[in-house]
Amino acid sequence: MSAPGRKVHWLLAGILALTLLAAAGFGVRLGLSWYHWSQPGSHDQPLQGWMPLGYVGRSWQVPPEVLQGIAGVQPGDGRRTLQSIAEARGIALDTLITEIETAIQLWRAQGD
Amino acid sequence: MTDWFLALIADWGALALGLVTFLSCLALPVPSSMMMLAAGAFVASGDLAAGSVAAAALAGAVAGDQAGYGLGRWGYARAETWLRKSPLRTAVLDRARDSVQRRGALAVFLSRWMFSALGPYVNLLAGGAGMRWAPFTAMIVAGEAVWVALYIGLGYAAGGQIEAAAQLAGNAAGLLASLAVAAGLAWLLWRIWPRGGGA
Repeated sequence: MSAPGRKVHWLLAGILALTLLAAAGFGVRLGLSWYHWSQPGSHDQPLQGWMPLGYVGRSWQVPPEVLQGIAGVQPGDGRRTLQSIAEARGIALDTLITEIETAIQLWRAQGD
Repeated sequence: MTDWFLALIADWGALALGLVTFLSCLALPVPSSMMMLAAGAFVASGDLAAGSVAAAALAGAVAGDQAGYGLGRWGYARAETWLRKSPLRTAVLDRARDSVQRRGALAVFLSRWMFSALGPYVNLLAGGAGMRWAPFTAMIVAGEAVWVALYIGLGYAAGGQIEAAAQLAGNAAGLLASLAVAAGLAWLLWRIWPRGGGA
């Protein structure tokens, strides 16, 4: 077997080893993210402007009517993102987010 | 940047999703998988309707694939005369085209959802290699249907945790991709590893 040929084989073998290493890495990350996913408990996703109200309700487990009341949105207004609600009410997005988060904590404290 | 795309789905729903899947099938850098997950989550939270979301995603993807296929065909038609000027190139070309035409269907199907990063390039290749339109389209529709169901379904199950679902999907895709590359390399090595005596 000529020397250059041998080198190619070992190079390929090296790349194969690296690829398997990468696969193992992804496998570990997959296991971790699966574990994180299946954890019960606090799944409240931090509020962001792109989120529609219904999505917030699902994430924080608040009924839609309650959330609509908090956000000042009429039912049947269709899907409205937090950003568009804030704009419609003429307030800053961060203000709306704080408002909603506070109101949800209060609502939860009432033990509904 | 991702936030902007997510807002697009939240505000424009199925229409935006169809546009995004179309663009992603042409290899444009749009986060289509993430947006499919978001759309699924919005279906679960009642913000979007399942039927129109799935239909739009599928239609956009199939249209994008057809465009890529057409582009491949057009590109080959333009280059064919030049390609066939050399007998060596002609031989290689005909072998490649034959290979794709006979065994390309499975690659087309799997590159829709299992190795979706390769999808757009498989479109170009299929068109350029002269894969017949009917089997190509059949594989496209079947494969994209799996992709749509998988990601929207995952988003639906994710409920209020799109980011966690995106992590999960990303790691799974990475695992599959690296295993596929490893399998290919292992096969290659097995084929060319020297056997028996010396030089």
